[in-house]
Parts: sequence; C-alpha cells; structure tokens
Amino acid sequence: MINILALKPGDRLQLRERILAEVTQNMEDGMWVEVRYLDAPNEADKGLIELCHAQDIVALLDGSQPV
Amino acid sequence: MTQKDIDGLVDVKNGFISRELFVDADIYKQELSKLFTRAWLLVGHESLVPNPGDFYTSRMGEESVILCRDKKGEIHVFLNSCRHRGMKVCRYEQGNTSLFTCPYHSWTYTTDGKLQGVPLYKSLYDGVLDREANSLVSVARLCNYKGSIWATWDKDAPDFLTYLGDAKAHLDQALDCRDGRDGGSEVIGVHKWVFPANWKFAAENFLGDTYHNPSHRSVDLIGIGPSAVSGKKGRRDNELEHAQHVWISFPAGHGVHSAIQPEANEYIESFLDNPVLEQYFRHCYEERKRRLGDGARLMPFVGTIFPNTSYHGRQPRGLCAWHPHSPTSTEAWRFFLVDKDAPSEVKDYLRHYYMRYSGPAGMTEQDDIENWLYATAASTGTIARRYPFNYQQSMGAYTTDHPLGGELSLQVTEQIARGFYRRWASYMRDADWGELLGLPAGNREAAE
Ligand code: FES
Ligand SMILES: [Fe+2]
Repeated sequence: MINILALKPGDRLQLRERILAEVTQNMEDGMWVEVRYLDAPNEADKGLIELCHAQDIVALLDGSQPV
Repeated sequence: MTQKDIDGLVDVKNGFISRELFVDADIYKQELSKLFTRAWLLVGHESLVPNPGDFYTSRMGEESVILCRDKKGEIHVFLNSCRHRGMKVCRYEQGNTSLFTCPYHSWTYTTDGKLQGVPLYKSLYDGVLDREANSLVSVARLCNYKGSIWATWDKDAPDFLTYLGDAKAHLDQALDCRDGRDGGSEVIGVHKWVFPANWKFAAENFLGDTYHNPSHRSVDLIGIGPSAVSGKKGRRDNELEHAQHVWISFPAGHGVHSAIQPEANEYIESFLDNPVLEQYFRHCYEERKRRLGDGARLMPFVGTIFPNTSYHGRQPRGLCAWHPHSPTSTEAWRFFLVDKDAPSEVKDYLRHYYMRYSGPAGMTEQDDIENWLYATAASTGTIARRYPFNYQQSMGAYTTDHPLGGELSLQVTEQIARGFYRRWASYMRDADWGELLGLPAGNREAAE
C-alpha cells in the first residue's frame, strides 16, 4: 500500500497499463498526485501531465524515498 | 398548477392568501421546481472567496452549491454533487483547495469544475470517458454585483440588472460604501441557523412589513442601538427622523421600504456611544452627499429581492438568504456587511452591534422568528387551513408615476406583499419571463 501523502516531486512511479511516470506535484489530499508520463505504450501519451490516483500506482521506483 | 388552483390560493384582488402556501408539502415541492430553478438567487459574496482556490459552500433552494474562485481568479458556482453517483464533492463550509475530490470513488474536479481525474481511467474506462461532459454542473448564469454573487439555473433568465429593475437603486444602498462610492463592501461574518417556519414568512417580513413594529417594543424600550448608552432608546438610531418613508412594490416581485431625506438633508447624530464611529459616519454622510448630490437623499431601510434575498440597509447592514428546508422550516443566513476599507474599530463595533440586533441570538431577530414560528404552528391544523390570511391593508393606496418606479405608497402597506404573491403565482403557472418581470403585458394578464 503506497502512502501517497509521502510522495515528492521527482519520485518515479510505475503505473498500471505499463505507464512510467514522474511526480510533478503532490496536492496532499491523500488520493491524487500530478504526474508527467515518461513512457507509455501509446506514443501520444508521452509527456502528458495528468492526475494520477493512488489505485493507478503499481510501484515506487528506484531512487525515490521509501514509503 | 392550473389557473384555477392558483386563483384558489392567491387572491390579491380581494386581499387573501391561502395558508396552504405556508404549510403544504405539494406547493412547497412546486416552489422548488418552478421558482427556485428560475429566479436569481443570492449565493454569497466575493469577499468570502478572496484568493484562487477559495471556496464557500452555499445553497440554491434546497440544494448544496459550491461558490469558488478558480486558479485564474474567476468565480464559479457549481452543484455540489458528483457526476458519478451524486456524492457531495465538498463537505466543508469553506476553505482553499486545488481539487474537489469526491469521497466516494475519488473522481476529482478542478476549481473551474472540470472532471480532471478518474481512478483507473485507462484500465476501466479505456482512457476515453468524456471528462468534459462530466464536469460539475454549473449554474446557467452568474452575476457578481458589487461583490454580491447571484446565480440562476435558467439559461433563459434575463441578466441580473434587468431582473432587479428599479429595485437596483435600493439594493445599492446596502452594497455601496457609506461614503457613496460604488460597491466596496465585505462580509465580516455569516450567521446560519434553522427556524421552524416557511421561508416566505421571512421574505415577506423584509419586503417592508413595517406594521409589525410593535412586536419589537421590548427591544425598543431597552435600547440596543449604537446610541443607547447615550440615552437614545430604540433598536437603531433614528437617522430617518425627518425623512419621507416610501414603500414600493416592483413588478418583478421585489419590495422595499426606503426613505427620502428632506432637501436640506442634514446628518442626524448617530453612533453616539463611540466617538470613532460617530466621526466615521458623520464623515461618510457628508462625503456621500458631496458625491451623489440630490441622489444622496434616498436612504435604505429594508427590502426583499424576489424570492428569498433580503437586506438591511444601514443599522444593521447586511444581506439575508432564506433557504427553504421544508414547507415549515427555513435555514436563515445573514451576511453582515461593512465597508472593506473602514477602520478596524468601526468594523468591530458594527460586528457586535449586528449580533446584538440580528442572528439567532439577536434581540430583534428573535422577536421576528417567534412570530413566524408560532404563526406556522398555528396554521398547520385542518381547521386553520380553511381560513386564508388577510392582506387587505392599504388597498389601492399607491401611485405608479413616482420617479422611483413601481407601485409606491407613502403609508404602511401590504401592497408590496400582494405584489410578491402576484409574482409568486406567475412562477407557479410557468409564466414566460415577460410576465415574471412584470412587463406591461404580463402585468395586465396577472392584473389585480
Ligand atoms: S460518487 Fe463521486 S466518484 Fe463515485
Ligand atoms: Fe422585525
């Protein structure tokens, strides 16, 4: 279970649907963070800034602080 | 509601209004669907949401709405209900946020109402759910009038100033600076409480029911006004001592009790209990005269903007929204107003005076509410309902050619209440906006 409140800008996340993303902002509502898609199966999605819900996060990736 | 049904309830020609209007559940439901979905309603004030992301939850009819200022500083009013399963997306009275996240399944909306986040959007909605189409429901029209925020659900409603008509000059007196500058008010506090009476008791009381003055006799004897300690009794200072009082019914259903100062228009001492306030108001009075000239002679007392917004113009000064809860209960909101740039001592003094006068613990407000709730309780009975209320006071005693417009009376009158219910009846029979505004043809159709 990922504690979304502890995520910081720059943290990298593995999301569902094989999306790799980086946290850009944590509004600290405990549900959502804003992310940038670094890699995604759909070419057009790369670089998108999107909201990302806790349930969409599969894992917190290397280099990021433990949660 | 058919014409026949309405005729049986509202007989302004003979001066009778059925008690059913104040107690019946079916009529109440129809008011919510026919009246509160069309008329312009007071939602709040811009000073309640000064910064981007600020929100204040309010009501329109029975429904919760969010007044908020988006990231760009624009003000919006949304229905406080998620597009997914209807959960209240905002359960706080006020605050600041960048997102409204629904507590149920976490759909999240930006402060401009857009559905921004949907959990498992790509996994469960194939990334194609139309987020634009699932934004928070916005009001059809919104108006920031001198800081007060008004809205309507009816896209065909006329603009707010057309809706106000000639009542504008009177509402202005509550919203403008004491020294005559346009606007510039701020809310220094909001009182909210529920009382067991129909919302129309309150709306009608502030239309200009000066006749109920004796019910405040005890307060007047004690003296709660800003010069009471200095020996001037009453619940306020009598600033209108030499004025010609006027009671006006406007065709869109609004009603006001205002006053016209004599040509000499001299300041009458008030706020004698505090020299800072006395000086401030004396200064404002002179400034206002200088700015507005002859126009400064018009002074406010009270009024109701149809259907459920009332104001007090001077002592005290504020806006009231009478939110319907049920046929026999109402949630009262009082927004207390001061000049934004008034000295803090002035604001603080006024705040205390307002609370002494108005609100759930206010001495004067308690008198009013006691009347409304006992009248409601005594009107719910089977026998009581057979006997309509009497509205025959000052029948025909008005003129229609005064420069202030409307049906103007120089004596205490129930003509304003009759005008209010004439318009209420128009809404109940789904009249077009011509009639709702009381434009000549509409007025003829609904003539007394
Ligand atoms: S009810 Fe709001 S997300 Fe389901
Ligand atoms: Fe009163």
